[in-house]
Amino acid sequence: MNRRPSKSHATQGDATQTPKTVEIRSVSYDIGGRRIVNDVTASLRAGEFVCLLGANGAGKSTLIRLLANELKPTNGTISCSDASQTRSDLNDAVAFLPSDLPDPPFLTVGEVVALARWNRRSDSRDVSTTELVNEALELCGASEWCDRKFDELSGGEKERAWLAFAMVQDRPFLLLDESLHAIDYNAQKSAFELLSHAAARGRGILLVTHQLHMATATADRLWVMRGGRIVYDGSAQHDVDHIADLMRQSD
Amino acid sequence: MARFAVVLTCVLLATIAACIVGIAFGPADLSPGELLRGLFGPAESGDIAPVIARQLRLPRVVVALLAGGALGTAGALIQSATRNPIGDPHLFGLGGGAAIVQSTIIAGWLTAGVAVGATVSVAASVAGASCIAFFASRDGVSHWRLAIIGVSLGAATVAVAVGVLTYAQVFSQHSLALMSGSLAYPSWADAQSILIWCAVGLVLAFFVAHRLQVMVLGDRIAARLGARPNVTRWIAMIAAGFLAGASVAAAGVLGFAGLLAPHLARLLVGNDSRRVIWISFPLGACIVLWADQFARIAFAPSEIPVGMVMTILGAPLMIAVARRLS
Repeated sequence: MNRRPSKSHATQGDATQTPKTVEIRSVSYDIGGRRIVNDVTASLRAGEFVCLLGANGAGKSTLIRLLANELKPTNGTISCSDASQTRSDLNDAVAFLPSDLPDPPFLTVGEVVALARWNRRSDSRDVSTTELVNEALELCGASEWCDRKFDELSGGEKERAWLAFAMVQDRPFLLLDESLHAIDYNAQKSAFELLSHAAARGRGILLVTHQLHMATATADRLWVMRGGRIVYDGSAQHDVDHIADLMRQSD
Repeated sequence: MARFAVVLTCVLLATIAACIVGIAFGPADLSPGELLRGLFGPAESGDIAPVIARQLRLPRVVVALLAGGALGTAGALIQSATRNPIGDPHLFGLGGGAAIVQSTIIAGWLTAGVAVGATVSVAASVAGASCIAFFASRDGVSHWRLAIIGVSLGAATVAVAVGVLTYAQVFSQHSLALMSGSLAYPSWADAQSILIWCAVGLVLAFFVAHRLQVMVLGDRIAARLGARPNVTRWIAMIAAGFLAGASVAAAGVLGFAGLLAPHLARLLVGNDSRRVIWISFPLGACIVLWADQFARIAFAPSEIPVGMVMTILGAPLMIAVARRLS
């Protein structure tokens, strides 16, 4: 899983696309009269690995679902940075792995990952889907399960396979909602490094996680949420205790 | 692709062989000469060969072929659209809806010719399919909960159909043929109806086969990939409704073909849902045709309902397939 081919296709952001920024402007989201996300303004830039931290119920998953265009904000807007961007463009720009990942029946791991390229007629980089799938599986430490049935994998193995799926999707932004919580320590460390590497190659990555040590060691930037607000948006080079304090301070 | 072509060729050859057996052999011992005269010669009064060949054996083979094919494709569509390995047109109540209509016709409560009866049966089957599509489209319904809903709907519709026949006190061969699945009474009118509704179902299936590939990833991810999961599922289920309804109207409730054909298809041609959907048609046809030959010939001059043969042969085969899948 630590191997990084020097000319990796799977971790490479799409060079043909202009780097963009996903802008969140004064976004709030209410459900049942309760404000879950409260006046959040932030931006996720291509080429940056951001970890979103916060206690349970802080609004992290709701915010990432808003960014993934699965929910519509009650107030405010989310858009890509270019002037002409619309919400459908946001859909095209973002790949999203939800926290409750499905368990596809029938298919092998390789077949599931290959479906990430479903409906792509041609590839401008002249790389075959099989090549991309094999490379992504190798990067995620999942190549040995390529021919195994997906629903026979363990929880952690499935998460690594889904990470490979997300890598093969050719989108400038990648959003992961606690998608790496069941994998073991070494695999998790490699997965964080892999995401960091993918960001260095041009992708914008937002990962919701509870792994403070990993986040402070690997991410470029941290967003810390509390009570529906982003209370910290800045460098990841911080003491873990300081970040934990930010997460639990009362408003 | 080469493997698909080889499998398709083998299945088609086996299907053609079953058709030849179906036309050439039967309780009435026709010589090859009589058979050819019966099939292609002029019909003369008093000559039994044309009646046996053209009015009994040929429509039976055609209906078996189309009913089996329809069930195979319907099963493949349901399994892909609901991400459910036990997706089957009869287990999920599609065939049961059509069986209710057919039982009211047999009971004399509904007066309808073959074409109208088949049309109403298809409508009932599509209604059952819509119920499944509705439940499957609701947030948070796991595929196992959906399986329980489907099996409950299937059991309820069959119970109503049996209830109608029992209340009307109709215990004829036709009642038995309907509920256990039989090809003993098909006519050219049946063949015509099933052909039309099958064609409609297959055209709808053609439009969604590509999108069904990503339905196994769940609605959220399928939607992100641009597959419009709700629309795809509704169209696939309605297509399955057309296919299952047509099959019940012509051949009764034929169990196992819709479950078995897609699973065998996956073992033979892999998991690409388009290939599974298209190979399931000849595979379902082949299974039902051979089962019918057994039903006709094994206990000649008596015959047993083909649905019974399907269940007796299909159950252990299905268990073997399930063990291999797990």
